[in-house]
Amino acid sequence: MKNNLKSKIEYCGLNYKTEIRKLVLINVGFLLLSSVVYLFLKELNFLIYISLLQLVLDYLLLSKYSTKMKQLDEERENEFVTIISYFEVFISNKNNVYQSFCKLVQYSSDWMKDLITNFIKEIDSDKTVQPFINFANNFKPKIVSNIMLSIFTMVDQGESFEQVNQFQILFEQLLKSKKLENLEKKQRSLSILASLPLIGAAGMTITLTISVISIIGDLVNVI
Amino acid sequence: MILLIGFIVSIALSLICFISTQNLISSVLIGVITILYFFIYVKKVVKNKDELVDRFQSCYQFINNFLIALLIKGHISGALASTLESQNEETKDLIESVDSKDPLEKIVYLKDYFKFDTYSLFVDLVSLYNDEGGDAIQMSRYLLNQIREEEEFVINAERMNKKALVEFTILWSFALSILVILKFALDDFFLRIITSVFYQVSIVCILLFALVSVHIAVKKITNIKIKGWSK
Repeated sequence: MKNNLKSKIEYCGLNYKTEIRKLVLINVGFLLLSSVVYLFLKELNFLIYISLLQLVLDYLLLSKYSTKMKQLDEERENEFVTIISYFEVFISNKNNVYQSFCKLVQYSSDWMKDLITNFIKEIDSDKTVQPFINFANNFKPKIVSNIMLSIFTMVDQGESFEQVNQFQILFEQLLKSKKLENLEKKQRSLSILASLPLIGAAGMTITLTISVISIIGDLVNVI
Repeated sequence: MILLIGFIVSIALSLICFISTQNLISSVLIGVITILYFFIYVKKVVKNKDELVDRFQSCYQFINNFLIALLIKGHISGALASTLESQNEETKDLIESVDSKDPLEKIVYLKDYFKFDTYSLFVDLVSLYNDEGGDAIQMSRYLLNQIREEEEFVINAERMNKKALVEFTILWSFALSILVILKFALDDFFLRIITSVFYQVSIVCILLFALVSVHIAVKKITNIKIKGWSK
């Protein structure tokens, strides 16, 4: 569990110790707040609220690394799609595979820039399919490997019409699925908005119920 | 427009807070926080997002019109002149400010205005066309596809944003109206409820949560990424 969390934090480019310190500080802060609230207000209702809030916050803080990891993977896959669409532009305009990849560096993020630079170095020294496989291994979708293999066949067998065509068919597939995926992702992300007013309404109902019950309790005590 | 919306939201939240708690201080506090939030944050991010969408659309229009004009005119200077006729004043002014440069340099100069990777790619293609010639439409086929995909995504995202925003507003209006209705429905009993500290604090927390949810909505709605754009 510890190593799992550590690897997740480090994958997101964050410092493990700093993140754990933050988590501990937040929890200590909540404990102090609970003690102060109980000392001054003597109301158990507030303690329930604060504990619930603390649990929710802990859950959100601990799950944010998995979400960020997923987000990072998605961003990298999206960048791969964009970069390969630029590659398509270069390859169809009198550039060979090597020149096209060299030109891609200026359009890449730092992460992708390192990847492409290493890839270019590898294909300089290794003329086999291995550098292409190594490059594809940085991405989860299987189709990325297929695309990189089709680029390798372009190098190996010449950038003939058939080879370029095969690459384009594969890339079109990836483009279509990514487009759909991105729209679905946007839809999913917006659908969360509809649940927020429901949480607010639930909070109101709980508040009113607790208030009404405590007043009825007071009335019963008086009687 | 954004400030007007902020003003309406602020009045609505303050009013709901006052009706349900009868506490002037917390009502004013909620109202001030809301208006400050809209004035400082929302105005800026919405302006940035609108600028990005407008700039991208005019970039798309520029590239599209230029390539069609290039096909008809056959030379860069003629294509640029006809493209500029359909462009907005800002783009025209930018080009006029570098009137002494040659047409290709003018297109390169616009890189700072159209800060998108697709525009840089377009500049590379125009330079290639300028050096070696060829079929402009054939050369830019994949680039146009790429921009069309991005344009389509921006349009779809804007449509989804509007729909989600309407749903969000309606649902929050219903949720908050519960408090107002209960005030009148419970009548005398309500006067007892508002004396409870727990109730007062909870209502303020719920209204602050409403503001947090507005923040989440603003972040999601203004989150549009187009490669190369930086502000």
